[in-house]
Amino acid sequence: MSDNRLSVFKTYKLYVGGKFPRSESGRVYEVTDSKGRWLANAPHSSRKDARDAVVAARKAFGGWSGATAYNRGQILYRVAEMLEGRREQFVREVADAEGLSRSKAAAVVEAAVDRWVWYAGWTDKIGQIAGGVNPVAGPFLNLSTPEPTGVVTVLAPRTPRSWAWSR
Amino acid sequence: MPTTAPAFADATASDSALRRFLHGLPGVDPVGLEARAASLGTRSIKTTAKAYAIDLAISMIDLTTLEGADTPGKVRALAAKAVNPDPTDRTSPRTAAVCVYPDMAATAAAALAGSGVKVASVATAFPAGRAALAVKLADVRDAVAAGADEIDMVIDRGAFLSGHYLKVYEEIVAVKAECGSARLKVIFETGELSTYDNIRRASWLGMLAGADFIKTSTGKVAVNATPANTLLMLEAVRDFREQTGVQVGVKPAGGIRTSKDAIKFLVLVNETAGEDWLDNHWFRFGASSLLNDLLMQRQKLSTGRYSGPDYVTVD
Amino acid sequence: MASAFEYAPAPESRSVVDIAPSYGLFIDGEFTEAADGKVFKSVSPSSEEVLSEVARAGAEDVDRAVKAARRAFEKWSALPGSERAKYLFRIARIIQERSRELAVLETLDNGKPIRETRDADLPLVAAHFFYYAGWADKLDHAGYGANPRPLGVAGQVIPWNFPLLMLAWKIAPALATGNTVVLKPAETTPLSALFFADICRQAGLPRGVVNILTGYGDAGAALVGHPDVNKVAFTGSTAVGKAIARQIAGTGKRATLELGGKGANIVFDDAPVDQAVEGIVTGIFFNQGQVCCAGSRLLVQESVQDEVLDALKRRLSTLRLGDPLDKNTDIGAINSAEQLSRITALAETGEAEGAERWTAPCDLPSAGYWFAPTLFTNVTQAHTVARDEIFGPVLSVLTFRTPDEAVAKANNTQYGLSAGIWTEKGSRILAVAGKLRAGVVWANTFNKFDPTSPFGGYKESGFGREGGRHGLEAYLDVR
Repeated sequence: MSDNRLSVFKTYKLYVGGKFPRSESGRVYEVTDSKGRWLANAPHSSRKDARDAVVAARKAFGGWSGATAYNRGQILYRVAEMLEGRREQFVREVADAEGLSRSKAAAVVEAAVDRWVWYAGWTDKIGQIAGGVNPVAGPFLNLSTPEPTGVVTVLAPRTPRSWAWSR
Repeated sequence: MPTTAPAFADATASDSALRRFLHGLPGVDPVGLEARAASLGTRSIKTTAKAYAIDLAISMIDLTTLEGADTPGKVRALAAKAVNPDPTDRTSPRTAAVCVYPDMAATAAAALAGSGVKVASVATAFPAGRAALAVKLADVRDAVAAGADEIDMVIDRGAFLSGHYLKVYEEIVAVKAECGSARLKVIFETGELSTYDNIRRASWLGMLAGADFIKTSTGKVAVNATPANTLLMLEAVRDFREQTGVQVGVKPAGGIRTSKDAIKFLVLVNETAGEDWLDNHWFRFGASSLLNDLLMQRQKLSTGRYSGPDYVTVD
Repeated sequence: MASAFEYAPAPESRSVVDIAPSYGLFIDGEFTEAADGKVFKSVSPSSEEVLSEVARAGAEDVDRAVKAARRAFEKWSALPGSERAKYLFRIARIIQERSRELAVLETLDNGKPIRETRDADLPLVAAHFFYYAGWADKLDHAGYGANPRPLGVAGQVIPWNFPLLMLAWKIAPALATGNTVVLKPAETTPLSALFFADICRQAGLPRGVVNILTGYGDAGAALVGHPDVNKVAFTGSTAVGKAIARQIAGTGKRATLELGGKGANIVFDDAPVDQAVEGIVTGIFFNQGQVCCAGSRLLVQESVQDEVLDALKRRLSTLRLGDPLDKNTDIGAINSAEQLSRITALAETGEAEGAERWTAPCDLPSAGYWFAPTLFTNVTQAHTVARDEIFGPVLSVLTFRTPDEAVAKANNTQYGLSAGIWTEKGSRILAVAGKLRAGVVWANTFNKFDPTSPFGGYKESGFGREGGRHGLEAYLDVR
């Protein structure tokens, strides 16, 4: 790369229903590194964005939970493969945004990849561990099967501090 | 009615007898049925077999337009295409029929006169079938008077799903009587009957009532012809002929758009009902866009190059 | 069969697989010649063409391989489970990537149709590695106590009917649990195991963790008898299984044996007839009937016998027998001349004992080993064809009157591997399944396999389970 070439910034967007929309709010907030330097703008999601995301997740629930455990495992493992392939990018972003050293950031990313692999292996085993036939006292077949909860909301922790979360 | 095969005369003697008969048919295991249809779908049809299948499929098409916006011009264009599907290649077979609403039957009949391509008309308050019997019969009479060679009727799904099988049966018998020499196709709307057990029962009900063809669907609902429901109906006509000596045709309709799909259906026919059904007197496709895809594949086979939509006619 | 709709030949391309003229033994991560330099030929059963010449292992080679596996064991078993998992995931993925090549190879070496290797064998092989990969770091959750330990070196001997799938059933759980292996494929189907050795190399698997010894029964016996083998896993005939049990008695070796079968496929009068017919066909003609869990005895309720048999014969007349590489072939070649003569002899016994023989109308190719799909009716429990495992495309039809009689007849066999139940009545499925003494009972389907589902036999069909969570037990020190 020549010294005088201007780099291309990435526009970070939401990920909702398989698309990458901008926030309905039309606003962004600044994401800074551990020294307070600007890294990027992130969409400032609104209540409506949150609603749209939940609606999209609910719509996808039947298909995803109805897919075979094997198929879900394959997809989770694919995520691990893709994450490994983009390892360098994630290490850089984690180091910048979380203020970690390169080696610590690499450890975080590697642990994340391995975590995907770990759960890829759980999809077709959870039912074998947590489910089964209950030996009821009668001529009846009684089964227990773990079922998915439904739409799950995950809130990432505020630390590391660099996530500037207004309000 | 003399249409009921003697072997099953008792079955249609009363509502309860018909119910007992239909519910006494062997059940259908959906997983097994769909697996068999999928397995036949993996047959690899190449070269000479593919050429044969494409021409056969073209000759089996009921080229269809069933829109509120149909006009005489549209119907005449479709008829011209049925008679001469590929303007660049006169060796292409004609389609079996052109399928229209009853008020367009006369236009179609005039356009197809002398071509050998049949006029098929939907009737009986297609596609919902929600009208008085007198209205449905008048609909059929009109279509036949206008020159329809074939009548595509819909069954009363409401009556079927509420268990009034004899009502459905009698209505088919009455429509058949109005048809005169026209051949009767009985549409079940399999997507609304929902279960394979129901589709098997409807197939037997239709055949007992004198259907010349049993047909999957109207093309107007979410689920139309599928390999599995067509396989099931092919089993029904096969078994019916074995038990009564009467051969009945099958027409999957709606959702068959590519040559690959059509060939899969022909494999189902070949390996289920058998080669006696590999003829447009006994098997039809209710389709419109399928024809162009078959023609493009046909051009590919003769020229070795993939064709494009600009080399077939729009209709 | 002349038909208006004659399917043109649709052969899968042979060029997707590159078979070397000769192969060595795979020991300690390298291909090597047999110590005494012996070789044997692997033949394509559909054409009798020689595919390759492979090394024939002897006792000295067995010793080398077991020593390599022993050396590799310490490090392999000490790896974190999550690292072993990743090796197995790699293997699963490479198998998926190379599945077309492996399917063609397996069809050439075994004689089974490409439709089956492509749609059944290979997907199941990859799925099996995928499934056990997931267990490697979850053994604490498997119900065998905290930190269950591997056994050591596993000596594994597999049959020719599903060469690569049987390899997967053996190697995947062994590696997941931390064992190292020496595997001997059958002498008539050595090639896919040798290709698997190359996959181990591509996956970067540490040397010595997997060793492949091609050879005959003498190599298998030497492997089973080697004093430094901790665990024996065998799939094959009951006679050899019994010999192995005698050989290792008192040695402290752990063993799982998956042996023969004479599965009953029970069709009740309320069965979904068309699907039952498909299930009967899958039960006995899948893989030319060379399946230990085949539904080789059809038990049909007498009241629907004619209906079912007419439908069955009509269906069998549509089976397409011929070139296994043709994508439209349903029935391929018998694996070897030896197996063909065994099937032929048993079928002749059936006729001699008075059973009525019916053969599907089809032309047999002039070269290779072929046997047309065959039915025997008027068979009773006293007939040889109702008792002995034929391991070929031969179905014996018996009748019954009541569910109790069906169960009694189904269980009246020295074997107990598989059974099938066909009825639309759910309660009957559960009641009958509970009474059948068979390791696997299918309801309204047959010959369906899945890595999550354990498989194994009662009585002379063997002991131990392969597949599923239960399949881990055979490779863990849980005493």
